[in-house]
Amino acid sequence: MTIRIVIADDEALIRTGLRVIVGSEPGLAVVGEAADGAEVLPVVRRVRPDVVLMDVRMPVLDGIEATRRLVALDDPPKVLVVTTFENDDHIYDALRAGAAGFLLKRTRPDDLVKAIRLVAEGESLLFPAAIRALAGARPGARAEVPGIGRLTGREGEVLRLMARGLSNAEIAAELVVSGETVKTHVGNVLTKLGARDRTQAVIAAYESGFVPVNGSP
Amino acid sequence: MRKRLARRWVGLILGGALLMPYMMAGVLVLGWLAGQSVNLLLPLQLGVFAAVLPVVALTGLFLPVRALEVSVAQGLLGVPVETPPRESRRSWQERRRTAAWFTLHLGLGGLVSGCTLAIVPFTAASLVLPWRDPMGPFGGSPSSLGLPWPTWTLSGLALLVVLVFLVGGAGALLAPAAPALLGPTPAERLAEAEDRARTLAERNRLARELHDSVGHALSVVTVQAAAAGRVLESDPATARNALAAIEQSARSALEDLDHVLGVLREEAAGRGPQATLADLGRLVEASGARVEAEVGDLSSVPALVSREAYRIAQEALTNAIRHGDGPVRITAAVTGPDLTLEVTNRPAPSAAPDMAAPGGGRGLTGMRERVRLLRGDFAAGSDGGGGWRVSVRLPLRSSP
Repeated sequence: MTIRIVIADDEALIRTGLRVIVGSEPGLAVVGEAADGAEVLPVVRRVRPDVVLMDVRMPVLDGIEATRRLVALDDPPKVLVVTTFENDDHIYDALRAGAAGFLLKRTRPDDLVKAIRLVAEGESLLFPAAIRALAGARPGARAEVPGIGRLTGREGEVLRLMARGLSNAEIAAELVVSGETVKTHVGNVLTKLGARDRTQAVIAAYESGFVPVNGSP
Repeated sequence: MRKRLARRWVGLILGGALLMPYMMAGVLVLGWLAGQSVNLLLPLQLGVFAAVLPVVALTGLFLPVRALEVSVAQGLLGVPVETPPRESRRSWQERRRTAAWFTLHLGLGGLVSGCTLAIVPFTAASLVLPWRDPMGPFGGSPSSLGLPWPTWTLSGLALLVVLVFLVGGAGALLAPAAPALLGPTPAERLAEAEDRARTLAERNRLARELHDSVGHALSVVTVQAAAAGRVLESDPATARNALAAIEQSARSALEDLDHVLGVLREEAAGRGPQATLADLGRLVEASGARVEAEVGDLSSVPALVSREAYRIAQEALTNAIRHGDGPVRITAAVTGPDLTLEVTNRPAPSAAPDMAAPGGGRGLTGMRERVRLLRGDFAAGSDGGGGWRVSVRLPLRSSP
């Protein structure tokens, strides 16, 4: 099954570059482009992609707000934020807004493709260490997450393993349970935390202090 | 503890030593007034001491003793005093504080030195005396001074103990006053904080410039190079386009880098006098561009505003030359309470859409920031006649 992709970036040269890289990969297809955040929504409605590669700084509407609007759609695409610099506050804002992960523009083409596949699958976290660092760099971001108290012991364990970046299959191996069981646990964790995906669940885990930012999760 | 006491003692003796010239002058004046050489009896000494203290305070206002006293406080009294900033001009607040400290140090130092000079020899004598007196401990009778020898020895030792406590007390009195009187005054702290804030703002501006220009261009280069590598054989035409884009981006990144490094170098060299609007003529000349400058009487513009206005003009001129076409017009004048600065030119056809974009042009962010810090107004955009205009208004006095 082909993964359908939309590229949103205000720089035409970045768009064409990404289009060539992604388009030359079997199983991936670029089905649309947008030159600013406001253009993304109509394009996504029209072509129904699986993944959106989203630049953060764009005119008219930035990538954070565009992400927020995209994830509010029915059956939303996964958003992969693509930025120039790692130590960028906007990345965290975009992740909180519902982006499934982020990528640097300097990422090697193979890793870029791998990341797109990973996000489309939705079964593991992109760059768990970076997300932890971003959460830790936000002092005072500590928030009450009411659902966290209602997690069962097993679900808590699953959440901790998710924060370490383990995929469902790896969690299954770690806890010696079936893949289906893990899927159920992950589903329950997301529901109880009101999270849209793993990234949001892990951010909630860090911000509530359920998983400490310092020290091994 | 004992080491600290010894060091403080030295610090106090130093204060006494500094007091010596004042005391000697005081004695001379007293002798001159009395018309004869003065017998240096204790009450007279104390009188001279009290009389010279105001003189000490007065000279403390004018003598550059702060640096010396700070090192005494840090090194000998063992007090953590922040080293004050080097300043060319001393404020009256700072002078008063330094004078107060100077008087305190010399006064207490004088007392401690006097007592040290009196008590230490006395104690020594009281210990030696019984041994030298034929009627001493081995004689068992009152000494020739009319008191039994143990009284002498004990009182000598007791006075020594009193002296040690006196030194400790004087040190304890002096030490807490040091940070308050010798440390940075509120005005100095404020100036320092302002300096820091300015450096920080400048650094942020440069970081943003690097981010926006060089970071952006290198991203394009990376992505396009990766793309070219992927399709080199299957689609040579696309690969060739990518290479052209890489060349173009790298070139403009180098230009931007040149500009940022230029600003940094200028700042590194800018420890000396910084350029002001008075240097506008030289700037225009150095630019080599066709510039019509119309500069009014700017003598009433404060240095800070003038410096910032120069930097804004420099930035605007650079942009105008880089993106524009034809002559550049610069006007600078004082109108009412404000300085107004305007740079106008005709943009090159290719640059026009880019510059019309909101916030377009890297330099604009920097200029807007400078203007905002000075609470002025900034506008950049089309002048209505197909030209591009940057116009700035800066208040000459920043009213609260």
